[in-house]
Amino acid sequence: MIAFQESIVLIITTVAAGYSFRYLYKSLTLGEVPTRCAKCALIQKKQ
Amino acid sequence: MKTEQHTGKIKKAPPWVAIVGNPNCGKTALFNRLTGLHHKVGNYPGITVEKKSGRIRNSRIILRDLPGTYSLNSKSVDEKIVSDMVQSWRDPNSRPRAVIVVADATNLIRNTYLALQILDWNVPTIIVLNMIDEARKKNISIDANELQRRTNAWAVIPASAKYGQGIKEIIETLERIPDNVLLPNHPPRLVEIENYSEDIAPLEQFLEVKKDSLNHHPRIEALRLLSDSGYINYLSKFFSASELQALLDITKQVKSALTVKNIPYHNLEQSSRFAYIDLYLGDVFKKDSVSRRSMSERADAILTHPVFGPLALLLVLGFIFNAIFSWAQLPMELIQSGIDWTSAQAGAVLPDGVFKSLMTQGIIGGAGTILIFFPQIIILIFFLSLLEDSGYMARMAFMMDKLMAKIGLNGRSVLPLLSGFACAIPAVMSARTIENRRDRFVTIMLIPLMSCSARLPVYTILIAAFVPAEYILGFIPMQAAVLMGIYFLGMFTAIFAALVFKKFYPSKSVQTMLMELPPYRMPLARSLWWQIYDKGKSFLTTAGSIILAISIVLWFLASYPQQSDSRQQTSRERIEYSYAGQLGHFIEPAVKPLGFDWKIGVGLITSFAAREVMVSTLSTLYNLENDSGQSQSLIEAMRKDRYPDGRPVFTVLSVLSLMVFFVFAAQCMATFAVIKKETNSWRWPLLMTGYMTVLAYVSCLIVYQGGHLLGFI
Repeated sequence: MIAFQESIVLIITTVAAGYSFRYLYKSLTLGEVPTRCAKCALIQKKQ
Repeated sequence: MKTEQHTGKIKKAPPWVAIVGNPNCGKTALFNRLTGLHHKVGNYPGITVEKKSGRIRNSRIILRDLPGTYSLNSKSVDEKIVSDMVQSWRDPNSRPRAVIVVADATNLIRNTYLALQILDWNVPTIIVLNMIDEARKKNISIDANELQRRTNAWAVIPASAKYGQGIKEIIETLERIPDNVLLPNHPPRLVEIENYSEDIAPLEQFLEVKKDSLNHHPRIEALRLLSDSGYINYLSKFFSASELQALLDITKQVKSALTVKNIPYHNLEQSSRFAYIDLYLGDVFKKDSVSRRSMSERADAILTHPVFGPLALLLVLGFIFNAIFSWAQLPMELIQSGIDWTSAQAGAVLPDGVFKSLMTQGIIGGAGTILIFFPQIIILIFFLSLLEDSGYMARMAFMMDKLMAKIGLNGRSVLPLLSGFACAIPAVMSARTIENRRDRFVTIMLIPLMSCSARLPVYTILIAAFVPAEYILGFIPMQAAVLMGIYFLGMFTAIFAALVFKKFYPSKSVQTMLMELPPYRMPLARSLWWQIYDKGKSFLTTAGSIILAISIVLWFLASYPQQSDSRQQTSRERIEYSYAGQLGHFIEPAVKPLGFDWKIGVGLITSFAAREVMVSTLSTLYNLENDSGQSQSLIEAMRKDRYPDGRPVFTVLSVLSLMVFFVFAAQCMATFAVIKKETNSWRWPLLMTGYMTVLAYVSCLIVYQGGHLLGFI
């Protein structure tokens, strides 16, 4: 049971880490400005 | 209604229509009405700094909203977007089906100038007399049919984007315009007032030869060449190198000839256009001769008064900061109860183990904590939107204009700086309205000093935990005053930083701000709602997803590795042994002089992804550290936290130091990225990060160590 729980936790953490790295990578490589502003996100999409 | 035409497998591109107009004439409001979209609108110029597209409701036509501009001779980055697009119309295939020129009906003379420039491109042009309701209130009567006849516009339609008047007529008119319509050449809408024909004739004749490929009146081209030395770039592809040189030489000769006659060649187009408006269109717009001071003018007598104006501003800001605490109290308590209940339910249902710990301490107790601040962020956004839409934000810019000039900045810098209170990213983008490159870049460097809404949760949790909810002098709420002080600290530092930039990177020219103060308007509930909805949704989804992801990663880092005999250890020992604990202790020597322990140090690192993550990080760490297994509020945990020697971790000085750190530190990846993008260089984002990090560290050091020396705890 503990091993099963640890596997689930490991998967969730890996996904979260992947998402965080993607966010940081996009910020630093500047392919996309991650933004909390809907207007800016829309402008970027149009560009 | 047009039908789609197919040639083999190639699908014809849908027709498009451009919306142009002066700043703050309601282009975006009209765009939203026509498309059903909800782009941000506001009652001050410079909201739109980029092209935006959308499909007209129930139609194939694509609408392109463009930044506001007073003329096609503009120079700032956003205005140039319009000039560049219009220049592309030389190629008939790049022309839109039609152009909508939105004109503010209350100020038609100035707005008609741009309309005439557009009309001279012989593209079907619809002049929309927006804010016709306000014009009627001001007893301005406009004969739309006569205006259409005299300007030869495709149509002139009175409308009110605010109330939806005239929208149906605009759509019907657009649908009726055929594709690729060729309008007959119309003489340029200019009146020669300076007798310059003879002098500019050589230039006009030279351009006449290429008239078919230039697709624009030689006289207008000649006047633009005289007024703007950079205009030749638009024409270069139509001429060989030798022809271009000849064109430059002739332009120079014509300028000399005009100078000899004392004719100001820079303004020939302007004076000729306004003479045309005066002579041919003046009697189409009639204003009631009874001149009364409008309500806006009467309000401005107080609100922009040199003494009462700043006082009123302080009162307005004080009210907002107090509302952030008092109005949000009940919804915050409700959300806190909801989170506690969810955490208790999850704790009861889930079997003991790491998954339960992840759910209750990492996700619900960590990321969920951020939700508690949602009402405060919404209240801040509500008031910022209210200030924008009512027209008061423009008055704030007006009052600060003189100050800007003194500190070597541009009057146009004020609005981007003020919009930095909501989020630095759109603020950095809106600095495109500043023509002068140096002023634009310095403004961008200062925007992150304005406390954005992402910093609010950090400030409010610290204030709520350590500033008593009492009144200064019996009527000034202490918590609101501290919050206001923190915001002012950012503003005053921006002024100081501007002076430093002025010394080391002085401005070569002074650009005055020519901003027309918009009238005060009652904000539309619909517009306010969409702004709050957009920002709220983005907070919960875009910012929320990264906060959740980082909280999960942080929970993992704070839970592993576990020692084999971990059951014998206290929670505190376990967390100090974890990766996060090791990282925190590694950086602790660097942050200790600022009054921060290792947990705050970890929070400072994670908050680079999003500033609110500081709060969720502390929450996760305190939850994991809590031996009792009972959930405790973050405020409670922070108040109780002690160093091993029994000293409290959070003292007046350390809390103050932490708030100062958040005012000054450049902890935002997205801001870094947008500055790189806008300045097209690594230099500026690195400079911003460098100077703000040094500023944050040194200031915190002064606050904490200086405070200790003065005897504070």
